[in-house]
Amino acid sequence: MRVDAHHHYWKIDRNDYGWITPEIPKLYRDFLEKDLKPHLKKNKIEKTIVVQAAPTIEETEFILSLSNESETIAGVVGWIDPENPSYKEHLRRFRENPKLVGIRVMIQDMTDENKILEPSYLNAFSYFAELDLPVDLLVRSNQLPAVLELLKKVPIRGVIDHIAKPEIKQGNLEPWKTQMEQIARHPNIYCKLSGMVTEADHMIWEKEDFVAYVHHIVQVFGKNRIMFGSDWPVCLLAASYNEVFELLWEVLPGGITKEEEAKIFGENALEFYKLK
Amino acid sequence: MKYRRLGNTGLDVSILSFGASSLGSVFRDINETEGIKTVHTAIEHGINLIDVSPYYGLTKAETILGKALAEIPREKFILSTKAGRYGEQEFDFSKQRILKSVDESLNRLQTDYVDILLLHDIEFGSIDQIMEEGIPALQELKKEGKIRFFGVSGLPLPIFERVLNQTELDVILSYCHYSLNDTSLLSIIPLLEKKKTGLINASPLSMGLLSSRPLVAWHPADHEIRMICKQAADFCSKNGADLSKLAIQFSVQNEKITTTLVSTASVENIGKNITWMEEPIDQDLLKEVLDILKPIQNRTWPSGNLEYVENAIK
Repeated sequence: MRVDAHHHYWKIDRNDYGWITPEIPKLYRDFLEKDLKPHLKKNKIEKTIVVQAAPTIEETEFILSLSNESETIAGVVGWIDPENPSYKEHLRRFRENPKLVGIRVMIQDMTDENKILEPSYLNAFSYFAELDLPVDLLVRSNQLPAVLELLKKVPIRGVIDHIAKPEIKQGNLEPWKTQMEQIARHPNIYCKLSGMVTEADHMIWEKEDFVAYVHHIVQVFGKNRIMFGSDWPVCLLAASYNEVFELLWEVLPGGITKEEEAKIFGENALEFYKLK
Repeated sequence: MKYRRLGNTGLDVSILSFGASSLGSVFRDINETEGIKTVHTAIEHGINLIDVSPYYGLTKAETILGKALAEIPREKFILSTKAGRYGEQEFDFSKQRILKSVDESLNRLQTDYVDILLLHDIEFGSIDQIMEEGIPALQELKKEGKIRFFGVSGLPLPIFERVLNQTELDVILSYCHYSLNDTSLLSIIPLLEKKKTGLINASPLSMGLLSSRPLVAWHPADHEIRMICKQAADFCSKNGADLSKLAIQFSVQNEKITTTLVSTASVENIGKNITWMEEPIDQDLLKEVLDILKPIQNRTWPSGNLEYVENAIK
């Protein structure tokens, strides 16, 4: 089954998406299942994973409520605040809904990423590990040392979002390349081949810009721990849904079998989020 | 300036007309005094059709246009505005809202009638409401004399066929479908001719795709369209030419495309557009640019309700 492992739905007037402002007119409107469905249909994608877009309990409740009425949402990745003493209670409540498949930690938005190494976060990550709960790590390439430290301390079931946002626009590979190789040595860590077009020059990217990054991820993570994600509607800043989907097909290394394709474009995501 | 007859309306409209969306700072922030001067310059050069909407700049464009037109004798211009769209996601094609909308527009435009009223971006509305409430509201307004003629506007061409198969319209407004990169508007001309419906074409620059200026962030075209249009713009620059000029000339020269709206809030730009239009088109350059644009020719983008979106990305 083909799956989009990473995208968002939002309703602007819910009013807790701090980062989606009128200054980004392309994103400043509602994006809901009815907007995505034609693209899923065209690309024969049956199911999707909806990821939180706002750091609030209410937004996770909102996307969970969408998932209850949806045929295409396979799972929801929500948000909790490990620094809030009642986070376990929120998580327990979320998990009563079988559509809740994981939690995302937005390291990207932290002023100091070493916060994830403080006791509150370490305790939460240990709790996630105990539950074997899938954790999405939204991280920028310059924050990877902190993630490596975290993985040494806690054996989480994790996925790196957006290949850790390397500097595609500048064409820089190191130190991202070495650090991703080190991260991939942790067998519980997966990687999402998503969010790449928005790290390139939005206007003039070319498919060649992504080849070295994608090949490296395939090489170090192998073909069982990588998954396609569109990052729609954020991707619209740089490309249409179809273009993002086609781009990954075109930049994957040669010699990939039909079975491996099925894994990258669906099965690995179902496996990681324990939906199989 | 040349003029062409607009369908069955009896109106002779300038082949280049003025789109006032720019007065609402839709494309960039504008200076009001300069905007007003731009309207005056357009009229001085023989442009007689001016089109606006309460949606542009969320009423700002109508308000500035009203100030500009207050100083001009009413018979000097043909005024077109719209109703039914009031925000990025706000649509209301109910009879009550359309009737009220016109009064609000007349107030902002400082006049007691508009020549043309269009239901705005109808692909976002319910077709049933448009047919059962929106169109009857237009018919009523025409009887009352608040509007002289009416029609609909939108992006997906099938919407025009759909409405025209059910009712009569004086005019339609289509955008981004008769320009260098997209001439699909030609496909509905036989229907318009049969129904004697007037045609207003807008966005000869495809909302900025056919220009060397940076594209607005909200532009809905996909990456390949944007890239190929940029290649065409770069090619023109390298050859000391201007893609925007070629684009304007291309859109106005077709006799079947009655009039083409250009939108600008700069005196210099409206002057340039008028001068360009009167110069002969560079046929060699045109051929080369059309070659560059071939891979994306007639490719559009999704707009409106599900059925139209599916049609666009098929």
